[in-house]
Amino acid sequence: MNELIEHYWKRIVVLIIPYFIFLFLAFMPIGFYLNTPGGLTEVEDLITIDYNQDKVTEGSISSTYIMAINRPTYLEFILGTFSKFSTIGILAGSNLDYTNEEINQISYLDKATSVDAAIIVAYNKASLTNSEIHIEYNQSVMVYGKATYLSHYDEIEFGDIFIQMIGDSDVIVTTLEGISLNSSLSDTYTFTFKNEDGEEYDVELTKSPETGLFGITLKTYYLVDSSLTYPIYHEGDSNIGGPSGGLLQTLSIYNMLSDEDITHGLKIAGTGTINYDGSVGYIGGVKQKIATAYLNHVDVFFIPFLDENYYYDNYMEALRSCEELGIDPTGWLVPVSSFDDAINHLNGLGD
Amino acid sequence: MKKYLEILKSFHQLFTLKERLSAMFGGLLFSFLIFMPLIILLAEVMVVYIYMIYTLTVLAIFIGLAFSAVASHLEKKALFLKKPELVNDSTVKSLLFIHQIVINSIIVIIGLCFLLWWIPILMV
Repeated sequence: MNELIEHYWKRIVVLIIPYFIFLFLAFMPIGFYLNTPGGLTEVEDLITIDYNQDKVTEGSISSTYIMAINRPTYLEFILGTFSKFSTIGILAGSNLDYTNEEINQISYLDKATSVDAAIIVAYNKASLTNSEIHIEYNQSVMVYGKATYLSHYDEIEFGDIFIQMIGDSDVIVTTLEGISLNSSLSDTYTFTFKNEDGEEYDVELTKSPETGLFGITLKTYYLVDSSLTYPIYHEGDSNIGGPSGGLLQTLSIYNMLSDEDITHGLKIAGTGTINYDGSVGYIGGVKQKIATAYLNHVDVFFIPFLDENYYYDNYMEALRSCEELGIDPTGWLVPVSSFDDAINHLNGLGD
Repeated sequence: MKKYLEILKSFHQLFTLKERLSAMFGGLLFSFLIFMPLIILLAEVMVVYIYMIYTLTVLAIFIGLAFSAVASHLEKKALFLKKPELVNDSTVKSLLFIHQIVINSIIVIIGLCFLLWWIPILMV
């Protein structure tokens, strides 16, 4: 090795400074976000159901993922500027306070709960025409957000389940609504949570003097009780977070439960969160999702459309993105406001 | 195989273990230092342009092959710098050529595993 060092010493000296500059650019994160197109994931790769296993599905139903990079490095930032499909902006809102790891935790919580919501909506819909199908689910209040001033910030994890709070006059509060109604006399209250491992723990949360709030965001979810649900479903591990696959997960699960093939041999993709009542919710990264659909040559792409007068409505944004990218949306871009809209559109294709 | 063992034997007679290890380590280290910016750049491009992941993986395979070729070349260089009188001896060249064929095959197999199995599994 010494011979090589002696032989190439002059070149090493010349290159060492640019070398370290490059390493700095490659590893130094900056306070921006960068969204770029991703790909399609067939829902059947994530969720399978022990039902209708002889049924042949000719087409495919896929959710769409994008690459959402929070705090990209200088190099990623520079590379992102070369793509017409990417969007770059300054990191703002709650994401600014969270570390990248915390943003990932929230993203995976969103994914897990969106799968449960998709299963609930699809099973309920399928059970209307098939009495064999049955689902049970339980309400659960979970930690969804943490402010920087939250006491015991590190002890409470995203996704921990709220069990109870000892409220004013020692009232045991177990509902989300009850917290604010029973926490007006003092600044500090004892909360009980259950962590991922199923262990319960108590923490004393103190209200912030500035905001008068505990600094914790709790959200109500419905989680499927798989032991009381028929047919049995299997959920695989996912490397992709976020709730935006909800609508397509619901469609795919419904297709697995249904006797007929709603895909009609088409490559179906789309985006949109799913609510427990079957309505569809907005998502981010519309431009990148449109680009992903275009690059993957999908036949049908569902996109949330709730208010044509709202500038940031996903469908209106999608139309603007198509114009910007020179993509013709005719025939494949389908606006929907609910799961039923999507089913009706697919049924219409079969007529 | 017999021929290879003969070349290996004569190579061991020409260089001590310390010399061989030093040359191999030097070749790998220098090649790594040369290719590190390229590897980092490719990794960052893969993150930003993930929709081109398969094309970029093919590119990564070629970069892997180039890395191995440069490492082998530098190892050879280090060995000849230790013993310049062996520049025209075919033993070192033959041995490193055989080693490179094996290493390149491993790189191609790993690359194909990524293309055919691991990337589709990761992208769920």
